[in-house]
Amino acid sequence: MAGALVLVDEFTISSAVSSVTIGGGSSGSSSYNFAIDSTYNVYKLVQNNVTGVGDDTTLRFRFTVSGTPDSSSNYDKAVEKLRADTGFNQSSNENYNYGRLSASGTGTGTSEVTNSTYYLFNFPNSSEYSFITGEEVMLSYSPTLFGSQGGAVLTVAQATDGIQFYMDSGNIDSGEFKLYGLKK
Amino acid sequence: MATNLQFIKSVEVTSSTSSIDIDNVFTDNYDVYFISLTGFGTTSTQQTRLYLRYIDSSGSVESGSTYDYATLRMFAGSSFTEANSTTATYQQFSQIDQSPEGAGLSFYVFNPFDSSSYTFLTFQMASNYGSSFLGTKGIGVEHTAQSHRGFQILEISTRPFNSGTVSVYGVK
Repeated sequence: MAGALVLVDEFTISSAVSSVTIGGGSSGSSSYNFAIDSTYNVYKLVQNNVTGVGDDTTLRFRFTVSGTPDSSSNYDKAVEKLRADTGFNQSSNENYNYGRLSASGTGTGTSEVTNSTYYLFNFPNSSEYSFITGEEVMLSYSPTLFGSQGGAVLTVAQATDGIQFYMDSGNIDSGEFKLYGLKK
Repeated sequence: MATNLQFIKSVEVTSSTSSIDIDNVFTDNYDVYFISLTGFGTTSTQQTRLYLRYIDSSGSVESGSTYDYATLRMFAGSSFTEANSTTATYQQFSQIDQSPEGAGLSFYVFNPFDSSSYTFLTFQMASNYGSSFLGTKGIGVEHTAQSHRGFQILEISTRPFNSGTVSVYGVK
């Protein structure tokens, strides 16, 4: 039986970039030119070894509309931050102009990177909000083991076709991104 | 790329209902299942919460007090809360609301078909209701050593849903 997890886009950073767009059609970072559409009900995104050029830089994202990042102040999120050195934290906000599920800043030391899996819901549906759930494990710039469990929403009823990732400061130095469709 | 996720079945909600059965999806072909729910919306502006009950080998919905669950409810606009039970008659998930609000839910089910083991579940969910975001993480077990052949997604507040798709995958 054929697998139901279908790779539809992937990009590996070979030199520092200001952002990475997965999906987003011809605006995407890869040569796949893939745009999230209703071919699949749910998409899975796996992100590995992502770190910024600078120390203590945090990964953010915006959903794309026809390849263009939506920078409106309509992102809400809530995550539980897990950490190895002390008690856990609640982190939430509303009406930001970006999404963030990452628990802390990446660093320039050995393996001070973030690794995550995400599920994307309702992206191609123009009459629904776009949802994302995520799980993360990372080593922060401290370095400290962090992780996050949570999700976010872009509260605009519109079709979204990808995700742009960028750091809160400076470029992304490394990382591998893979987007899968879950076959219906 | 070789994958270990194999599609089994999709069920679509096409009319107003408070429950939908996803039957005959668990077999001895897989020990672990991945299930996604997307596009669920209520018929009215009132939110409701989704739950799960398993369907046993004879086709009956298991509604005994044999469900334990623990969930972390992460609100974007207020403090996080916990919800748990050791005597529930269902597995609790989280909220859906009328479109364009709604939710996305995914969960793994472990050993549902094995008649000698309990059935475990982990889930994550993103919801928007009442103009507020809620992320939920949770775990659960149905602590009867019995075989399940499917499950039911339901709401219990008489606030039915009229859209949504459930997809079931086996993990090889």
